[in-house]
This record gives sequence, C-alpha cells and structure tokens, in this order.
Amino acid sequence: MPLEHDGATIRLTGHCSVEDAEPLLDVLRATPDATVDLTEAAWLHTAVLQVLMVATPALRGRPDGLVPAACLAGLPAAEAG
Amino acid sequence: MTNALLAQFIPEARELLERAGSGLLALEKAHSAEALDEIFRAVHTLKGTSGLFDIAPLTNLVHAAEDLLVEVRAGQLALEPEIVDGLLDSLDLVGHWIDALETREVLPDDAADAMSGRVVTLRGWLQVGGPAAAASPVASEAAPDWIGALPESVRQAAYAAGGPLIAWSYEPDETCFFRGDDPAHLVEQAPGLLGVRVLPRETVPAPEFCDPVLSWLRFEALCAAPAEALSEHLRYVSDQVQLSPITKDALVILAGPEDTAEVFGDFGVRARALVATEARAELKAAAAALLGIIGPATRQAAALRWIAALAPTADADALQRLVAAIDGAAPARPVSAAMTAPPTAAAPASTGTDAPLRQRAEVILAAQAEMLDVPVEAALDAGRRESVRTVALRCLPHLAPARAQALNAALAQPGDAAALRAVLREGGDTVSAAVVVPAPKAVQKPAVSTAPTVPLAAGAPSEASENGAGSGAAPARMLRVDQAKVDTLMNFAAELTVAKNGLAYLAGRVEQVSGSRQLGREIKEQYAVIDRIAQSLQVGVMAIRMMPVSQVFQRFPRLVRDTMRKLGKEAELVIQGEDTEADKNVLESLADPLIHMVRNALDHGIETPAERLAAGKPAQGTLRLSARQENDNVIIEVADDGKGIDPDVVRDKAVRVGLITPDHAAQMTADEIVNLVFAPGFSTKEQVSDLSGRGVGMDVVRNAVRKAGGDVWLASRLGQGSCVTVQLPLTMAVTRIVTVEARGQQYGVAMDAVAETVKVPLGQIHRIKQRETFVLRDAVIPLVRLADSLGLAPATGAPPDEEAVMVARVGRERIGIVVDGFRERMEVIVRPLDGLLAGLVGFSGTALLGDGRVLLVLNLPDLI
Amino acid sequence: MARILVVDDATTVRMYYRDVLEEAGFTVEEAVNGFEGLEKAVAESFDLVLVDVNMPKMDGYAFLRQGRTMPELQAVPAVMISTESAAQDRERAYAAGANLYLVKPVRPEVLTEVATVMAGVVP
Repeated sequence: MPLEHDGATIRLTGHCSVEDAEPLLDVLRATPDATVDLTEAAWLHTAVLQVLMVATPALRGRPDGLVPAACLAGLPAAEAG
Repeated sequence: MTNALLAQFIPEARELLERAGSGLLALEKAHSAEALDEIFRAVHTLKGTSGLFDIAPLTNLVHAAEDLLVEVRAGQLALEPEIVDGLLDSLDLVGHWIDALETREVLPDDAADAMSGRVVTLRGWLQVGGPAAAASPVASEAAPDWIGALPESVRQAAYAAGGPLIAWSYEPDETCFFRGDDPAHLVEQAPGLLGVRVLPRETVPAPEFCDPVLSWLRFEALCAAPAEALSEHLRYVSDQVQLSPITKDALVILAGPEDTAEVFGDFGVRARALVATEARAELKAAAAALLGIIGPATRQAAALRWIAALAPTADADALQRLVAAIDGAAPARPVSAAMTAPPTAAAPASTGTDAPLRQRAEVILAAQAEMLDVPVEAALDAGRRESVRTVALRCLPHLAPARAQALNAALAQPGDAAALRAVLREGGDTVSAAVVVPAPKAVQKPAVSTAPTVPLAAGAPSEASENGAGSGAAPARMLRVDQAKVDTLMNFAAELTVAKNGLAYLAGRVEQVSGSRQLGREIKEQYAVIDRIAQSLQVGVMAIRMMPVSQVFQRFPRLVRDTMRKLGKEAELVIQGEDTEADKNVLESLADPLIHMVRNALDHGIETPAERLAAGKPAQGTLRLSARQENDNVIIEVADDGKGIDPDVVRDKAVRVGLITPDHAAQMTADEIVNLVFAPGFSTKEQVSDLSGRGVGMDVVRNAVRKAGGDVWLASRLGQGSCVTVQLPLTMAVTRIVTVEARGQQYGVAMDAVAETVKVPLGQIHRIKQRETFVLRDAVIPLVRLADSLGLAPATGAPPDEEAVMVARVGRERIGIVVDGFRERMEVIVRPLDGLLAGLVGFSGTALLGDGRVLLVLNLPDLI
Repeated sequence: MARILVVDDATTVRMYYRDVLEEAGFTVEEAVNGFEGLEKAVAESFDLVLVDVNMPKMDGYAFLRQGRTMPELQAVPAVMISTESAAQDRERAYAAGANLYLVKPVRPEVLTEVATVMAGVVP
C-alpha cells in the first residue's frame, strides 16, 4: 500500500499508480491541512500528480525528475519536522 | 494587510480587470468605439497605478496588453478571437497575481517567467515596425509560441547543448489513464529532455469537482534529440503530440519593456568592438556589469543575460544580433533633452539647506520656458501666461538671491509671451541642460515598494470629497470593512434575536408563577419593542452582507464563450435579474455548483448547430441564467433550449444501476424520473465528455446546495430544453421555524418549507399503491408520518379522529407530514450537527431555545 | 495651508498623492475626472492642481484647456502626470496649459518638492 495516512501526514511510498489517485483525493478532501510526505516516493503517476496539483497540500520532499518538479513547483514545502 | 495603499489597489485592480474583461467580451460581439475606449482606459489606469508598487512583471504584462489595444484602437489590428483569448488569459494571470498580492503582498515567484511568455504572445501580434518593438528580433518563425515561456536558463542550456533541438507539446487525451498511459512518465523518459513546462489545458479544477481519473494536463517540452528518436518514443500518442524542430536561435526570445536609457548606446559601441576582437571574457564581464545596474525585467536585460551566458561559446553573428537588440531600439537623442540623474545627485555647490528645492525650482522654471515654446490656441494664451507668472513668482523664494532678483525685476514688467520666455531663459540655460523632469522609467525605481517606503496614513481609506459644495451629488462615502467584523456583528445580531425569545417565556412564567397578568403584559410589551429593534438590527447587518448575484454571474459570459468555442457550438447567454441580492456566504456556496450546471447545459443540453438546424431550431442556442427573490429565498434558474433529457433513457439507466426497482420506476412520473440525475453516482452521458466529466457532479451540486439550506430540481422537455432551478435562503443566519410534536418530542421545521397546516379526518386518508395520501383542493398529496420516519415508538391508545397534517414543500413537490400537534413559531440560529449528532439522518441541525432547551430541526428531504 | 486639487480616476493613485502630500502638510481635495475637477475648482480655490491624462467623461487635456479660460483656474499652476514619456505627449500637455509634465510613478520626494515650489510654500 503506497498510501499511508497518519494524522495530518499522508505518506506516499514507492511507485504510486493511477489507482492511488482517487483514495489520495478523498484523503486530501477530508484533511485539507494535510502534509504529503514524498521523501519515499519513487514515482508518481500523472493522475497522482494531478490530484496534488488540485489539492495543493504542503509537501515534504520532492520526487526526482523534471516532470514531477514542473508539476509540483507551485506547491508549498512543509515545515521541517 | 499592513500597506494601506496596496489594500486600496487590490479591489481597484480587480474592478479594472473585470471592466476590461467584460468589455472585451462585449466588443467581440459588436464593435463599439466606446467599449474599446473603456477597455483601454481600464488597462491604462491599471498600468499607471501598478507603477506605484514594486511589481514590474504585472506592470510589464499590462503594458503589453495596452500596446496591443492601442493598435486595435488605431485600426491597425483586427480583434481576432485568438487575440481576445490572449488578452483575456493575460487579464486572468494578472487577476491571479492580484490574489497573490492580497495574501502575500508579493507576486508569485514565477511571475517574471509567466509574464515573459504572455508578453511574447501579445507582442507577437503587433505589426512589425509598430510602435513597440517586436518581441523577438532573433527568433525563427516556425518555433511554437510557447518557447518563450520556458525558463530562460533552460533555453540557454539548450542553446549551449547544440545538436538538433525539438520543441514539442503533448496534450494527453482525457481518457488516457484508462488505457494505462502515464503521460508524465512518457515525458520524463523522452530522449534528451532539457526542460518541461506542465500546465492545465484550461484551468486547474476545484477539488470538489475534480475527477481523479481524467487527464487535464498539457506538457510543453524541449529535447536535444533527433526528431526520429523522439517520434519513436512518442509513437503511441502521436495524435496528441506536436513536434517542431527548431533552430537554436529560436530559443533567444527577449521579452519585456523597452529601456531607452542612453547607457545602452555606450554598451553597444563597446560590445561590438569586443565581439569583433573576440574578447569574449571582457564581453561577458561588460554584460554582467551592466546587468548589475539596470532593472531585470526589461528586454535589454534579457539580451544582456543571453550575452553573458553565450559569450564564451556562441558565434559572433548571434552575439552581434543580441547587441543590436540592446541598442537598436534606443533612439538618438539630442543632448539637451537627455534625462539626467535624480535631483539629489550632482547638486551644484549651494549655500542653503534647501538645495533640492532650488534645483527643483530651476527645473520648473525651465519647464515654463519650454511650455511657452509650444504654440497654444489664442483662447488659452492669456490664462497660460498668467499661470506661468504665478509659477515663476512661486519659484523666486527658492532661487539663488542674484537670480531671484533678476527674475523678479523682469516679472515686474508687463510683457507678452516672448518677453516672459526671455526672462525665464535668462540665467536658466546653464541649468536646463543639467536638469530633468522625468528620469527614464526603467532606471528609476518605482515610487513605493509593496513594503512602504513612504510614511502612509495608517489604515485610513481615502475619504472621497468631503465637501461637495452643492455642485452635483457627492460620491457615496464607502467604508472598507473586514468581513470577519461584519460576521461577528451578524452573530451578535442573530444571538440577540434568539435571546429575546427568552422574554416571551419569561412573560409566560411570570403569569404562571406570580399570577400577575399585568406584569406579564408589560414584559410582553417590552419584548415587542426589543423584537422590533432586533429585527431592524438583523436586517441592517444582513444588508451589509448582501451582494448582487451579478458578482456570481459576471464570470459566465467568459465561461460560456470559452466553452462554446471549445465545443464548436453556438449559444447566446441571457442574464436576467442580476441585481437580485443575497447573502455573501449564500452566493459563495452557489458559485461552484452554478459553474457545473452551466457547463452541463452547454455540454449535454445545447446541440451542435447542425443538430439544431436539423431539429428545426435556430443554429444558435440560448442559455438563460436568471435570479429572482421569492419570499426569503433567492431562486436561480439555468435554462437551455437544447435537446432536453429523455426520461426513458434515465429510467433505464436508473433501473440498470439499481437506483430504483422496475416497479418503482413504473409508478414515477416523467418529472420524478429526470430528477434522478441528482442521485449519487448517476450519469446521463455514457461517454466521457471533455467538460463535465462523466456526468458525475449533479449529486455534488445537490449536496452543495442542500448544505447551504436550499434545494435544486430539474424540469426538462425532450427536444425543447431543460431548466435547473436552485432555491437558496437569502441568508443563512437566522431561520424562522415552527415547532411540531411527535410522541411527546418537539422538532423544528423551517417555516419556508411549510405551505399550510390542515386537519384531515381519518376517513379522508386513502392508500394508493402502498402509500397514504389525501386530497387537498383537488390535488393528491402523499402523506408521511413523522413518528414512523424518525423511527419513534408506535402511538399507544386509539388513533385520533383526525390527523394534524403539515403540508410542506420539498423541491417542487408538496407532501403532507402527519404530526401529533403544532406548537409555536420562533426565530432560531440553526447550527450544523456536530459531535455525537453528526451522523444523524433526518435533521439539518440544532437550535438553542430561549428556555435553554435544544431543538432538533428536521431536514424534510431526508424524511421522504 | 496650501490646498492641492488632485484629479485622477484611479482611487489608489489619489490615495497615494493624498498620503504623500498630507504628510508634507498640504490639504488635498480629490476629483475623479476633469468634469468633477472643474466643479470643485469653481466651488473652492486651490494653489495647485495635479491632473491625470486619461479619465472618463473629461480627460486631463480638456480639463486644462477649460481651466485656462476660467477666472478661478487660469492662473493656478497645473501639473500633468502621465504614464507616457514621449516628447509629443509632453508638448500636448504644454499646449493644453500644463506648467509641468511628470511621468508616473512620481516618487514621493519629487511630488513633495514640486508641490512645495509650485503651490507657493515659502521656506
């Protein structure tokens, strides 16, 4: 399960596929102030990137790659901790 | 927000943007010189005002839009739909920046990059040789126009990379995820990827209306790879991709306003010599040095950055073109008219402490001489000379004593303009060359940064015209107030309205306990007075929060236009009743559902022109958006004259997905059937549509509206069109309710919903198809027993001879609700259910009564 | 106290002038277009007028031309403040009767100095 939800932190790990987009959107809708931790995420499917662009949560860590960087450039960074 | 000036600017900027935007839409329909003037003035004012703040990208973008409008106004440029798109997009971007300014007082970090992309597009439409220089003198023609939007650093790296370059864009189709595509991955893996820009095809959807399995992105990428390699990589999506091989010169796009400072002429001379002698390191240093002293947003600065980046590697021709881009536009100027340093610099040795004022006075005197050189109509001549005399006399106290004396003596002699001019010039010649009125804009820093550099009156909005002096109506004095303050006031007013109900109880108790009818009556009289005042207070505070629905409607001309263009359909938008007012919160809750409804109407309702003509309708459809007030509700209707909804299709679908049983379906009227589109998960459109998703959303619309205390329903006639009606309370603060009793418990029902109360003899209640009904004035009304609906214990004892029935409106239907009795009417604040009660079905909230009890308020739609 | 009439359709710009000029001790009156400017100038007297170029109803040029023919305004110094820096724009302002032509944005110290000299404040 690449999506773990722990209080206000949502952790995405490994390869996130299109199936993870809908649960992620649901969690983000329910937790508008959530921080999304991407430090362990290897790759995010386009659908997952889109959900993040829509919900604009604070991010911890950024996945490698020019495309994820371009998609997530506008999202705030979570405070350290 | 701490900066009062910025706080003033934000609403004004929004109003100007709105004026320009709606003007453009009007202009596209019918050409009108006045509309064009209005747009131009709005954009012009925005440009001028934005100069007060340190927000160069915004000013630059608005400037480019203004230049384009100048051409349009001069008849040099036709206002093609693409140009309107470009202008509207630019205004949208400025709108986003204004939002950012409001929250953070600075523009977003990417503003400069975003600006240059837009400016390239806008300037691209200006005719070559027009008043403003073409954006890119060195760009090749075949390159896509979005290249300039890629970051300058990416383009410079690509230039240095050498080899074949491909610029390509990729719009994955909406359903690509279903086929297993991962567009981001495909782009990431593209051979030789140097840079990529990801943007929404339209706008980023709102979270509530976002469908996570549809794709809505567009990718713009730059690769250093052979075209064949890239084509191979993208072979499965070739229909969604546009490849453009470009030359590296196409990467050099110089955007930004012209800076005409003289210093660029000097740089040009030196740089050409350095290129000619292959002194590349010195060239790079010279460019870097000049960059250090000029503003970063100008076209010249962009060219300098390119020179600095390319100096070591580029061929001499390219560098020479860049140098030409820097000084080519700077006109040769006579030295006497040249602009010099700000007044504080280079002040001549002076004795007084008011040296800046002396210099300023000399500048002003020089301007008087210059002014008198300009010919004038005879009628103005005398006045103008008078004003020059006044100015000259006022300059005297600031001048050096000898000069003042000479000027004073000369002014004392009456004379004509020529004589006055001679006097002003006397002794002024040495100064006038060294003095300047406006310094070049790009070199001079703006007057106020968003962190104020001038002491500003704290928080005081400017007071408009205190003294109208009887000449014309003085403008209304407006007060800008934080909404939170009004909300607080509203809460107090609402609580007062509820608290005063306690007096009514008190009066009753006084009569019971002390038996004093007199005292009870006095309390009731007092209660009536307070009641009246509380109501006035509530009405007054509500009026502050009331906004015309035009605030919500105003975005629709644009939305309809863009959507129609995308769908290849034609529709006219008719807006009615936009002056109808409702509470700000109510209107805000309406905004997103309304967008969805309008999109649905355009997407699924209105047919293509060909289909319409075939059906005997005019090619152009009509979408009517109307608002009106009914009692305590605001009614919004979205009506189209499109193909309507086929109840048979809806019925089949609803049975198929298990929403209703076939038996149930057979009993439902066509009206009831079409309203099933609001049921969760229902979809009327089988195939995925680009605009409104898979038809999901109508349930979201209904939820949003019901959450705001309203309801929504749909009426449709096949082949003739549909009408969605939204009913919302005018305000969400105070609700008038009536209490009803069931099994000894009291419940509240919103008065709005109650049509009437009647006593129905048992004999008149009939069962029709498992459902109790009764007849009220020839209409069959279905009955619901409140106690049964709430799952309360069955009544004990014999049934009464007649039932107390409350006839309520739910949507458009009337329904009879059997209760044990009616109690009182009152005004309450309904609070949403929370805590333990949150999951309770059948109730919209709780209300605290004057005697401290908590009342559950029924949500009638849940009971049916 | 010297009185200054500010004629500009942009509220923010008027507020900026007011802030700067009141800070320097001037009394400021505002008008939102040339027409309202003339009405105010007839009703009260001013020591200096600052006027924008582009305004609805009556623009700055028309305001200046009209003003130079009216007894209330003809001798009052006038500064035209524009966004355009081209020479022909300045000449147009002078031909209409402006005594000085400034280009937006006008820095606070320039505004204060110009107002001090032209409104006749004696040091």
